[in-house]
Amino acid sequence: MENLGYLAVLLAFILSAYAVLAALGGKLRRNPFLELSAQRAVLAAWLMTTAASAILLHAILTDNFSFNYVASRSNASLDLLYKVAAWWGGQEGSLLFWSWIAATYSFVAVYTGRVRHRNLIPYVVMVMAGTQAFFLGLVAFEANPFQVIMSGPQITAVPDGQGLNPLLQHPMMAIHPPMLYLGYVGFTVPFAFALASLITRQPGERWIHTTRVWTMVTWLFQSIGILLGARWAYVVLGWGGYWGWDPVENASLLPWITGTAFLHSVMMQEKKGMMKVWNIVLISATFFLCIFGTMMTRGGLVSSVHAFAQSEIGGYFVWYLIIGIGITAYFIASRRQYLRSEAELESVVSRESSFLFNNVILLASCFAVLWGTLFPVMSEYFTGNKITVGAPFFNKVNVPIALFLLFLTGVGPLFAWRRTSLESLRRNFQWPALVAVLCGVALVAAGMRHFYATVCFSLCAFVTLTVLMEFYRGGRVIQRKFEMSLPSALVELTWRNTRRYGGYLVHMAIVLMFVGFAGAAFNIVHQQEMAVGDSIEVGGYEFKLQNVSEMDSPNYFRAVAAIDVTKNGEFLETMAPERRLYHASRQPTSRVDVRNRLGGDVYLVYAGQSSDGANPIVQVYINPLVNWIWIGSFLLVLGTLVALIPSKRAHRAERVRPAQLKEQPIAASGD
Amino acid sequence: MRHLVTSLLLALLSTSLHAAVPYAKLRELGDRVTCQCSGGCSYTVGSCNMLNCHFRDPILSEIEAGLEAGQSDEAVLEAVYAKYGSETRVEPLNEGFGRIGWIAPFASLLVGLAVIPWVVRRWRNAAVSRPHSDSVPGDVVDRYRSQIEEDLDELE
Repeated sequence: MENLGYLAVLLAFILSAYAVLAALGGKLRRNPFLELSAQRAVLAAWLMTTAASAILLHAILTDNFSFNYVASRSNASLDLLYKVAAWWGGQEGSLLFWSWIAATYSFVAVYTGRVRHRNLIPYVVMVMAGTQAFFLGLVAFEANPFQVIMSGPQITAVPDGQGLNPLLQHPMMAIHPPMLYLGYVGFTVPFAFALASLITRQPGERWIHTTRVWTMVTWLFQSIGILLGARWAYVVLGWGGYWGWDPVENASLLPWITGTAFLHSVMMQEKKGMMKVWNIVLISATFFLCIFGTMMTRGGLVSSVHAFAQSEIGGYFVWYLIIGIGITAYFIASRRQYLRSEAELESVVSRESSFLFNNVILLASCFAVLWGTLFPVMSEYFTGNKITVGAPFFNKVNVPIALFLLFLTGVGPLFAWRRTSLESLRRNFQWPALVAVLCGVALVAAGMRHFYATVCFSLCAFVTLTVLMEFYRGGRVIQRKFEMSLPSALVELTWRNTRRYGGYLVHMAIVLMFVGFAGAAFNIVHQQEMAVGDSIEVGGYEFKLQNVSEMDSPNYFRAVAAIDVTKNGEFLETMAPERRLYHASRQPTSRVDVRNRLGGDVYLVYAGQSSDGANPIVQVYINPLVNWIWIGSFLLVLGTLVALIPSKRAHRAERVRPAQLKEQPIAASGD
Repeated sequence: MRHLVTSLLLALLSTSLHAAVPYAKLRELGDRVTCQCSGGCSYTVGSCNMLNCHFRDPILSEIEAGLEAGQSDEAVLEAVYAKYGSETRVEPLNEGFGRIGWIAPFASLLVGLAVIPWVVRRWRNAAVSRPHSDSVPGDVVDRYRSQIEEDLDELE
């Protein structure tokens, strides 16, 4: 089986490389058969990658411990879900998983776009198959998951595997990496279309639509991946937080930020034919930041709890980045004329300018995160002294930038395209601004003294009102015109322009998340050794340790502390934080217990045992408002899905356009 | 037997207790020291929740001892940085190369914001120009191409 698996990887690598050459040859020699052959090679590479993945997965699920990868990442008593997760739980398997996703994306992108974008597809094949070949090359020659354990000349198997990292044995971890990979790898598609359009000097904005839709889909996956990662950190790592500004966390955030900037600025290109160079730069930066992030995770550039074992593959990524950025820069420079702006900007106080500001702030935020992540490496390189940069630095730098961005989230939709009059500004701003000020004053009067939190809540009120006003105004117009109820009118409004109102829902989601982030300023934490029967009071809650029970299972041993939680004398529930010791890996870990409520979480950690081993040490966190982050996450997904649905108007236009075009004689512009 | 061994192991991996100083205070100062435990821990000593963290517990004990001795927060932290190295700092010092660390993100933001008026002025002054392909206006070519694409779609 191991030979078949490796053969499939090798064939997939060869087919991907062939696809690149055939697509290039087809274009150079104007040979459609070669171009078609390249498309078929993409399909064949996908089949081979799928076969290789199936063989590895089969080995994991059947506990084939003669595979070195299976022996080091799985064990017999592991739950089925986590056995599947072992596929991407290690370096070799995750690179194969990455390659399989890349192959799937290539297959889908090529076969859905081969008619609509027939001029672009050969170049799309080149970019996507090239990236795929790079990763398959790493799997084939540097990180082979099909290596077997040898004892002399014989293949041998160990009795049981070392098991999956205990921290990864959580349902969230079964979903988080695939989502993140779908995001990371998915950005290859819009980049490939953008580069292809650049090379072919594609006229019209059709490719922009395709690129935008693909970007939105992959942005959604990336968002879900990041948010699931945050949730996993919150419920598994047991430090009471969800974002530690770890280099690997930052690596996932960087392309998300530039992708967000692209989704905004691409509107300028669609509506006004502006910012073409900028958009190409943004989508290229997003793609290369994905590759850069992968290099950080696997190449040993920075140290992180999330990083895979340090390996030698970092150098390959550096070369890939140098060559890729070089080629992209060449095409941007050589196609400057094609990328020239078609319209002029009339005023700083306009929707166009707000997009510019939005992009600048997002890029500054991206730079700040990248800067902080790489600063230890740079400081060591330039001064010989490694200067560490932790969460406090990132918070100090990014919080003001993020608040500015939140302000722009509210301001942007209030500006008109081209130019905004003073009267319009006054009319649109007066109520949101007044509510924001009143909110700030009320919070200070109520005793809030945390500056950033007060500003954040005020801005949240501001943005909320602007979004609600947008819905209300539009809804009222439709309500009057078609004499329907306001809720029906709002649905109709959203369906008429799903992209715009889906975008507003995403803005609302960001507001909810900011409410959750600001709530962190009021977190309460307490730690105490507790004997059975002991009580402690934290944040208005009373916690009483009822008992500590110990249980054993084939996979792990666990000690569970049963703690009764009461508030104002009323019993709420018995919470049960755990401490586990996994037999296979001998790694201890803790399982927090969280009581989720809108007003705040009660978060208990079995943090350790007293030095005599008699009593548990319990950490209690009261995290107000944190659940708004997760609620915002759901709204973000909903809003993005709404934005992905074709608008009613666009749908109708799509159906009638060919007939209308045929009826009109094609005449020179100006007729 | 396995049960007993496991219980003993868990007990050995116990966390020492810091009772004399309020935990919130320990956590506050601990959050200003980067944890250096194995595996590339990028959390702070305050937030690192690795059960057998060999780096966190001694530092928390030293912070606790310093506070009990009446030292100021800064004095306690400086003693920790001096003993465990500058890599335990959570943020760069505002001097030397560290100052660049602080300035660069905000400088990039300011440069970006300063560039916007320039871009607006440039766009405002620029004549509306389109990319030309031979002598046929670009939008005509676009419409022809779109028509061809639509027709080919229908054919397929």
